[in-house]
Amino acid sequence: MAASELCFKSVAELAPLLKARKLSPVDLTRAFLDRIEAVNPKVNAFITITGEQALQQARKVERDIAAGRYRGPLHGVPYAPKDLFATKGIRTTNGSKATANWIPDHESTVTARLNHAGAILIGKLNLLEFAMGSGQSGLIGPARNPWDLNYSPSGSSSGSGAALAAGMVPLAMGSDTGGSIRGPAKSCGIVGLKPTYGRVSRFGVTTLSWTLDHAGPMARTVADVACMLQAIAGADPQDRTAAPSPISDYTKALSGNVKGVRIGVPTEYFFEHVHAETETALRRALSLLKDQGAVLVDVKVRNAALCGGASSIILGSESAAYHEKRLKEHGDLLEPLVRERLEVATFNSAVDYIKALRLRTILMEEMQRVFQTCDVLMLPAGNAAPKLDAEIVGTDAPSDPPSTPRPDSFNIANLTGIPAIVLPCGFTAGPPSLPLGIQFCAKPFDEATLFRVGHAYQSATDWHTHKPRLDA
Amino acid sequence: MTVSRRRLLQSLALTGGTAVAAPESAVTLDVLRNVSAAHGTNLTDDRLRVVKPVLEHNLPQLRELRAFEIDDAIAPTQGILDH
Repeated sequence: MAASELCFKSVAELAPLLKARKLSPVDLTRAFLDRIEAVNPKVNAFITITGEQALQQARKVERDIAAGRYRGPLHGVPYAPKDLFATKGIRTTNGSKATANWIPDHESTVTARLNHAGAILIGKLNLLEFAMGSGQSGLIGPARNPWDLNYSPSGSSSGSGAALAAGMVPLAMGSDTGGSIRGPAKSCGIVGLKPTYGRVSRFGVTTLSWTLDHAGPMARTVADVACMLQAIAGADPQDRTAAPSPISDYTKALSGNVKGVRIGVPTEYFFEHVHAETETALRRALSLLKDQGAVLVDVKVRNAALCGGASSIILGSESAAYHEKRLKEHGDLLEPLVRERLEVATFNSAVDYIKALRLRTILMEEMQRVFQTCDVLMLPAGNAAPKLDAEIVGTDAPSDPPSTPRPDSFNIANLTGIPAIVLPCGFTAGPPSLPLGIQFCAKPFDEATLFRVGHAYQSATDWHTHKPRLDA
Repeated sequence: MTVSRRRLLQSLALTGGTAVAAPESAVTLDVLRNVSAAHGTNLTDDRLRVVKPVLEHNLPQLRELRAFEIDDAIAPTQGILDH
């Protein structure tokens, strides 16, 4: 198999070959390193590439598999985390000049678990600075959308989305505080999961907002995302917010059967400012799922319009608290937008902050009510990716329509802690032809139903198999 | 810098710091300077000039949030979910 073909194989395709020793983990790692070398100068997805270490690890994996010590589907598969995840002994920059040379003395729980599963760390991925920047400056400049290099991959897990779409890595980790996994998933035509709050440990992940942060897997297929979640989910004594709730066998959810699954479709608010082309793709996806036996149910999410304001207060207040010392002592090292956002947030009052947390309670109860009437809720994931020079987080250039018309369609899942997945559902007519995504949410700890619906959809479509033309 | 109590309360009210009804005047540099001093952040005027338009832009959404009435029985949920 040609190296370029290997780079777009899923874990489901690679794992049997690695297990049966028909594919060497060293050859696989080398294929991805070659791909990164060829394509990263255009896409700017990687901040750090751990080539030698990855090959060393791959050789050890090869010996282990040969000796019968096969660990499971991730064994021998390269991965890369957003450069917000601490990797012991390997620089972790947060995409910022302020921490450009930080070498952690500890490993994040997520990367420790992936390493334990035998996955091979291949590098650290570009992001918006401290998960809140614009991507315009930061440490190495913005990642670019492989579908059109003049367009943004969205953020803040911009490098994760771009690297997956470009075939530079089969698995990636991102973080999501207000859509930072799901936005890049939509813009890059890949799959991104924001798990339930507490499903995945955040130990070793640089904080943006304690209340809203989630760490989550990203890949090109729902099945691969499920495989990653299986490896990283679970309680963690180093993170008291990590839930002891039982972990499902997510592979059982990949049946392709959605008969009787009730899909809630919002009747108001969330479709405002969604482009006609996007809405057509979403409705077409729903129609396909209905043909497969799912039941579409009209739903209304009360007070949804308050999500954006509540999230903004919580995120701003908590990030300003986290960065208090850095802002005072090294504010000049921060990207202008990051510094501005933090300074603005210092004007938030405690009363506003507590009110936002009370709104969180109201919205959590509202989502409990919604999920009595449906098993998953479909929400738009935004319009296609914006142009790179127009992507300023929180404000869009006046000449470009908003890429996320209703930020509440992402924020609602962060605020209420419910799991949410985005997967590709089409492309714009263009030019340029850019990916479109659909989002499904479920009740807390029901990632299995998200995988069930997402996998069924991907079994009947091929959007996730399209590749950008990067002429590498 | 000396700030009169009356002026400080007015400034804090504008940015939501108290329950006192805020005057409808624009967010001024003077107001922000007072609040920044009260909060201990002591942002320079250069930084306040950067922050001011953003605060003004955010005010309508903030006012909507503040206007939303919540039943006394609703407590805040923070951090750990009720598993």
